[in-house]
Amino acid sequence: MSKPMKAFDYLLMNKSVSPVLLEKSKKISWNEINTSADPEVIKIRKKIREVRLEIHRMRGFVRFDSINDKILFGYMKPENKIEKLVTDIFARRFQKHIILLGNEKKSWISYYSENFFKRYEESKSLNKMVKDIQSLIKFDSEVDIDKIWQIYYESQYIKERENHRLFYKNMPRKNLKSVGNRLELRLNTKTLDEYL
Amino acid sequence: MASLEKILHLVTQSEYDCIGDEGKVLENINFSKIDVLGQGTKHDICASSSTSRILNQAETLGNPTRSGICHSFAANGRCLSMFKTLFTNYCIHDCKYCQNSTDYKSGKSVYSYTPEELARITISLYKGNYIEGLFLSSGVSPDQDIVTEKMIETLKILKKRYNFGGYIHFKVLPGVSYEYIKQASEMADRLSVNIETPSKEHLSEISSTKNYANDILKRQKYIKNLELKKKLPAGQTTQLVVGACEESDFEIFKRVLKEYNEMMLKRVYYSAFNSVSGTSLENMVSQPTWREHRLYQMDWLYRVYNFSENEIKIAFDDNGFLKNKDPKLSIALNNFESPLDPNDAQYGELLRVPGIGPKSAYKIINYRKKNRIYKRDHLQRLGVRIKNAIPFLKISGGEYTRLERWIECQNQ
Repeated sequence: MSKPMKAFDYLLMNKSVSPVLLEKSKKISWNEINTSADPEVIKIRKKIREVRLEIHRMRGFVRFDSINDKILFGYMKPENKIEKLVTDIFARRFQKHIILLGNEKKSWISYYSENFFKRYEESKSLNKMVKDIQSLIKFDSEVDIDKIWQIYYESQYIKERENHRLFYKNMPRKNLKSVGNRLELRLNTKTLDEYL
Repeated sequence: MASLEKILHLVTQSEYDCIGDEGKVLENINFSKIDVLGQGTKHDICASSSTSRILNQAETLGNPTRSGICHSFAANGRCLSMFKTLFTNYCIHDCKYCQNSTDYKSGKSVYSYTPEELARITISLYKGNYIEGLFLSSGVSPDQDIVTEKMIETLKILKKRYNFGGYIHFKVLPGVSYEYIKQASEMADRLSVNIETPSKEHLSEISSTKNYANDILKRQKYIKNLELKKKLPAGQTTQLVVGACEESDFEIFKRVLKEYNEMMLKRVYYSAFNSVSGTSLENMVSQPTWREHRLYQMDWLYRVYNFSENEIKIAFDDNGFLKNKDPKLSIALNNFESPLDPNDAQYGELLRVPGIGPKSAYKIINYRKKNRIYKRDHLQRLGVRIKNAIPFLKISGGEYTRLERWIECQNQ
């Protein structure tokens, strides 16, 4: 899991990549990818960048609810095939917690501790998986941390600094969808959903 | 479902991070407190969560990242990566621009967190993946050490009870004792003291209670000395309020040079002055955010592009202000006698061409080891912003005269 990833590994996760590029990526170094002006290598660089950017965004934008503070679950529907990797990243970050990420069709689970790593996927929706888990264990109601976040988010608003262009550059609509529209975004007095 | 059951069994057997009744700390939380103490930090610009700290992840809850992560964006497009809050908004200082000041005319409700409350909110937001960590500042009580002690207690709870491995930015309050700064440095990734203005004369215009040399610069020296013994993972930073005391950009630049060279600062942040209703400066005109932006560009030229002090001076006008133009372009228009051949230029020379940054300069150097650059297209593929760069480059014999270059760049 902690082995450095190769260009080929990233390319394999891209939503659409030709066999020619995949084959070529096996033979070139990271340095060549980063510095070459060859049109094919530039294509590889772009495809890898797409994947890396989406991984980075998922790391930031996915939100977790919890069951008994030890099972963290959240919605995720990325464009590239990065679901397993992202679930693993969170499992490594929150060790000894179950990480469950999923959408309407599939779910991914990872669990990581010092001497134990388990990962698997299910063709069940996230909602179904959460219900399954809740049926297996006794659970308490959780604090509504989302409410605390919304209040905090609004406290950071400065009218004079509003910059819609930069806002949409950093936060395209597709990113909101891919994490289940959980992000609280406010422009003037409207939430993003109202604005759109 | 067998595997899931197995994992569930493991988790329920684990004693790690058992919150128990501590979850109740947040049941009766006062939402106005979160709002008011959050608002107290909204003009603090620093949002970086990047750190060089490495830890054993198996023993901690969470981990820092080298690149930092933005978890949300404010309506101005600014990254929100941390739970940025005051510990208390009670303050004895009279800074004229500040809503926590003793001079603040509108009614003010005073709030404070308890260390337990603040630690629990931080952990909950962190586990919900809303934040990368905590940015902890505060108003200053008559004894600054007392409030700092509470702030440090928060960090201790985070580190010892929750094994928190996320990012911590700790604001050192003006005048606080060395011992407390030392304790904070052992737990935080980044420490900062806001200098607010470029000199003691400027500070005295906006605050009669803060002493520039003793309350601020001396604390920065303490942090520097601590850093020399044990490296702070994300270094020391500071922030200036731009335009609250009619200082020029050049005066800011001179102070910034001292901060980088004498205090070994990692970064300086600039926050354009915004007039806040109810403060002594409520009728003063807010500064345009482009002024802040141009100062960041100037800062970048010094810190990342390694421009010399004398080179950067060219970008300021006779009154010591930066124009609302890219300072790199102004410098290049003054300094470039003849265009540069990208096939021969040194890395440092390439960096001085508008449209070429450290990454594209590096790519050019690597590319030309095996190839020759003779078309604009080659440069474009290497990430160069052609429109900005071409008036300063010589490609296949084609080159601009100084006048042509000046005309071409007028609209950039």
